Amino acid sequence: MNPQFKKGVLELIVLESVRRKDRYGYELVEEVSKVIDVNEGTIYPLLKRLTNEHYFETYLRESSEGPPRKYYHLTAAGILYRDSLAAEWEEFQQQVSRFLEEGKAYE
Amino acid sequence: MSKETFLGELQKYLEILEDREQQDILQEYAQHIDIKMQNGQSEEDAIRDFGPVKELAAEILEAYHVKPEFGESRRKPGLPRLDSAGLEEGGKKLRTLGGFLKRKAAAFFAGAGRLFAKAGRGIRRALLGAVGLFRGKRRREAAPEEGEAKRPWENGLAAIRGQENLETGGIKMKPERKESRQKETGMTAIRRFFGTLAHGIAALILWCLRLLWNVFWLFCAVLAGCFALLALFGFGMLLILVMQGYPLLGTVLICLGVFFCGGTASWGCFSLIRRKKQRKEADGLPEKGEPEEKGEKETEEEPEAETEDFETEQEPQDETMRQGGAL
Repeated sequence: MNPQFKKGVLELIVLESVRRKDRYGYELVEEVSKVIDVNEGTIYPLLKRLTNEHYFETYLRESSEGPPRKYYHLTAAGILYRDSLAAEWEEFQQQVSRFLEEGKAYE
Repeated sequence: MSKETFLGELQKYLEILEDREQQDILQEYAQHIDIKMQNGQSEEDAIRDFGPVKELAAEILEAYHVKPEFGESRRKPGLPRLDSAGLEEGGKKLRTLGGFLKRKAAAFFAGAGRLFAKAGRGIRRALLGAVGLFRGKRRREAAPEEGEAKRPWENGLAAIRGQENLETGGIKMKPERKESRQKETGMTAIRRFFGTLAHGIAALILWCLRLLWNVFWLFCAVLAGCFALLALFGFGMLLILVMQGYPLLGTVLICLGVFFCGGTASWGCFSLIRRKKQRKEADGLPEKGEPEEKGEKETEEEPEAETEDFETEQEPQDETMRQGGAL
């Protein structure tokens, strides 16, 4: 997939994944990878940024294997942001498909 | 690439971030790698999935709104490091350099002081010897005469010596030595002569300093006074214009303010000028300085306390100098 597409939509996918359930980094990477093929490294900077912008809260929880894990939780601001992003995506996606539909008339 | 080298390299790029943030990020990546290895992936593969460290670091820094190139430029070997540690190091170096210079200077001045003290003692001894010879053949009165005769050149030399001594604190050493060393009773006249001479030189230097001080304040006072007069003139002119209906009230007020400021400053400077005179009389100094001073004297009437302050100000300086030399 075009990396530019991925980059724009990655934020929305991460927000949506965390909205469903609090997750830790690796789990989140796996979850996102199911939707789009993405470089694992780039998810952490994104998490960092969203946390810095107060869309995420983090907390530590013990795990059965290894050290405690940092879990990400979507804040109220994060939910609003996710909704606005989702709406934007909907509109954007509809416009693009409509445009492509129109193009069929030229065939 | 092993986990350690990967984390180490990543940390180098992230040095600009707070230590806590760095640790936080590195921990996440370490954990990620650990989990992948638990799931059966090799260390190499787990790290390769992250892509180039540089790009990864740039993306992380972007999340903090830090220019990714910042880490780059700092890693170039030739460039001076601008982090706080580097600055601190520089500061330390400067401080030690300053301390070194200070110590050297103190040692130099102390050395010079000792040298001059020695030279002074040598000259005195030679004089004493010469006077002793005279005394053997002539009457007692010869001694002061001889002292007087030596005066012109001795005066110049002593002036130089005195100047140096004032800087090094050597002046204190001289009278002590003089008193402890002398045994011959006939030498008291010469001793007194030298005592007054040293006193005179010290007083002369103090007088010069005072003159400088006075000239400086006089200059300031005159300058401020000129300003005040100028402002007064402007005030008058502008007042007339205001009367004629020009909208210059603000400027007029400014002029008035400047006049008062200048006047006050001038008065303050004048009040700082008057020094000594009374002290001079009390000390019974040689007449030398008097004529040149007369111009100044008219403005001077002196509270005694102020001169005392001036004297004590000089003393501690000498002390510290000597202590510095001792170190």
